[in-house]
Amino acid sequence: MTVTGRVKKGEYFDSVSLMVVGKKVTALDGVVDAAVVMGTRENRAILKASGLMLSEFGGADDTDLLIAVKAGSPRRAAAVLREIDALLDELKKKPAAAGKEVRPRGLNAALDVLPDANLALISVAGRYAGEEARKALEAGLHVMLFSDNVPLETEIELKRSAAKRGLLVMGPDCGTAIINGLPLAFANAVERGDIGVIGASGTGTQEVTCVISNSGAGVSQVIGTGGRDVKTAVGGIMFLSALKALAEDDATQVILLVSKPPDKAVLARIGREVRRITKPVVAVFLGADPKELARLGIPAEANLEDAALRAVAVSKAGAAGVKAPEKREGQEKAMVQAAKRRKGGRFLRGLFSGGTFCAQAQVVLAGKLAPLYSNAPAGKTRRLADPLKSRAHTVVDMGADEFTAGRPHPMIDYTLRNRRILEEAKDSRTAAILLDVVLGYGSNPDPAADLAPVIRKAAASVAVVCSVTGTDRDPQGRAGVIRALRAAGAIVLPTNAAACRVAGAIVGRTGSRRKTAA
Amino acid sequence: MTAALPAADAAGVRLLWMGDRVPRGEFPAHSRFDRAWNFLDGERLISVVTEDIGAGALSLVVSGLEGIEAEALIVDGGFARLGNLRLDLAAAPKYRSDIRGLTVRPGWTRRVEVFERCLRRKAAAKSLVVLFDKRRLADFRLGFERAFADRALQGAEAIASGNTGAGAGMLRGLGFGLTPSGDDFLAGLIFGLHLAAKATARDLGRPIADVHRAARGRSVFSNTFLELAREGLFFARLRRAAAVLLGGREDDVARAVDGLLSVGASSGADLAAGLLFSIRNGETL
Repeated sequence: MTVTGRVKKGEYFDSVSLMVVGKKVTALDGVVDAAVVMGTRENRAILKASGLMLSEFGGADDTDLLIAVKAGSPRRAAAVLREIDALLDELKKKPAAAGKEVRPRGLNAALDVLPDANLALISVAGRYAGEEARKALEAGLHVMLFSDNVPLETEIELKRSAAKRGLLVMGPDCGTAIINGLPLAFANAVERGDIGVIGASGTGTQEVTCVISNSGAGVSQVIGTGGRDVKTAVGGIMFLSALKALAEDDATQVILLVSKPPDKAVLARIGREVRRITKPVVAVFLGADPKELARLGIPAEANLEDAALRAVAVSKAGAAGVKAPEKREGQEKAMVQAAKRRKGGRFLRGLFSGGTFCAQAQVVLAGKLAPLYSNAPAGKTRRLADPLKSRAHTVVDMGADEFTAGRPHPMIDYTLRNRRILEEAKDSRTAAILLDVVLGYGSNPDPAADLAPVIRKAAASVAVVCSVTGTDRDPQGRAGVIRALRAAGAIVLPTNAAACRVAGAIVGRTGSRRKTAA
Repeated sequence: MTAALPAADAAGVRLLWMGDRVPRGEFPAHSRFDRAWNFLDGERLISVVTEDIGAGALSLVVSGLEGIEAEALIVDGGFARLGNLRLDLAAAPKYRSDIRGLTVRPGWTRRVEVFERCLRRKAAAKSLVVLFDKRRLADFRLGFERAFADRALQGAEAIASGNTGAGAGMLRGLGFGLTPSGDDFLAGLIFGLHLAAKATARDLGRPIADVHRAARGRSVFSNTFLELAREGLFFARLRRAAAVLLGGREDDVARAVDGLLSVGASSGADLAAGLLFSIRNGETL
């Protein structure tokens, strides 16, 4: 083991920058321990206590920055130190001088810079977002409203105004869209093709587009509508506008609809529009009554995976009515057989960063595992009294408000979920932990580094089952992430539905099927 | 001379708030970050900050600073000079940093409980909220991190058992960040004593002075912050949290915690931990 380091005198970096550096350093290959801290007396004492003290640190004072690295070899330690220097140099670069980088302060200034823009992506506090959206519509732009906490009345007013103008308002709380091949907000790098997607669900949309792309087909457009659009109050204004737009879009030959169940009247309107369209339509309305969908003439699948694969089959065959490709049932069976068994473990603990995945898990597991609890219950799932404490079989939406207010979303920051994974793994009643890992723009840039060490610890005692939503073209690189998670001991599946099936089957084999309280 | 310079407004730079303790003088530029620009004369520090940092006793909140360069900030009467720009101090709203005007209403104990619950749930990993939730020790994985956590726990224990000087000495300058976690914690402890004094109508001047004396080190950032704490001069987000704790609604506590936790990387969490610690251990301090 080698310890090396450096003192940076008279150089100041703010705490956020130091945190970013610290986090990157601990994720570097070969780093056993590291510290990037101010040279106070107490910090020098704990550097000594942790075996990171160097003689050159002795003369440092409170305003000096100390960098210490412990690695497996002198060469590796020196290389890490160089990387830290490079990171800090990058942070020191001065803000752009006036005139070199144009940063418009409002819509009009932005339009001066980009007069041909036809879409505004708005991400400001909810109470201001409505006004900004209104201005954008009046300027003739489509709007993607990433903001949440926009009042319902504002949403209705904006969408009515947009519909009159022939414009789209995607949102509020719309996290995913791909327009003319450009990924917006949380989206994946997917192949272009002829399947148009309309989604009232962010991670649901991400999963279907990734399955489509990974299956050799592609997407023409991905239009998000925000979750409230398919409720009675909003009346499906944007869902219907998007359906009409894709029906007329030359690049779209198959239309895929993704949502939790719309309210009855809205579903009826969607059904009428679907029957009017001549292009093939595939839908997934998670948890909806299949008989009702059939009655309305909406060709629906039970889950995201099935819907995406059917859309691919239709796209490839060029005609409706083609059987969807077989899922890998044999492989899933083998995974279940090989899974770790914990003596006495009976329960499934699902920890999801995507709300739709939590909802879908309840659909897939309904009737197979009981009782099932959740902080975002649907159907017969019971409400979890304390979102921090699992009970019996539990699936948690860790993107819900109680976890995210004041914090980065769990698709970006894994801290809370990592902590929960270890807690669940320590619980002797846990048989399997079920996770989603969502790649793409805006998501955690290095999920394997953040998650693998935690999975390794947890997988020592329980089965850990993950779905990975993403493509090899995503910034994180799907194949590499899957490899790293498998090396850490996780069972990795390509879709949320598959992961739920496998995790449910593992628990079914290990645990009692009697209805038992936790 | 200052009056002859172009007004900042003309260059798109706006002075949004002026702190109520900003002194006069010439302050050479010291350090510049994305959202804060520090000017230092001896031990006197003034910061020019963006809106998302917010107001403070020694801050000027300014928008539109991108591309502006200056070697010094000169505060002179009703104007300040920043490089070639003139900021009209007389016209800017004054930020009031003390908590004398805040109202105390029943429900203090309950609001503090909610504050603690929110903090335990939402604070950043590797912050000193670990003092209230030992499960968070799992976040400290590397050797240095574990040594830091151990030391912090020892220091806090010493303070809780009445050994303020020794405990504060262990926490002073301890941990991560430009203002180390321990310094933020100790500042929070002092702020918490001010709150507790107001909420319970006690005189806590002596423990405030004791902690302050034990906490001072050699970092001008930390010392400035500690001095503001000693004088009971709260920055905007902290003052809002104080207002809610002293006399606000329970429903507003979570939002107040969110505001604090958005300060720095873990500075806000460490500060909030100190605040809570002094409220919980006020009898022994």
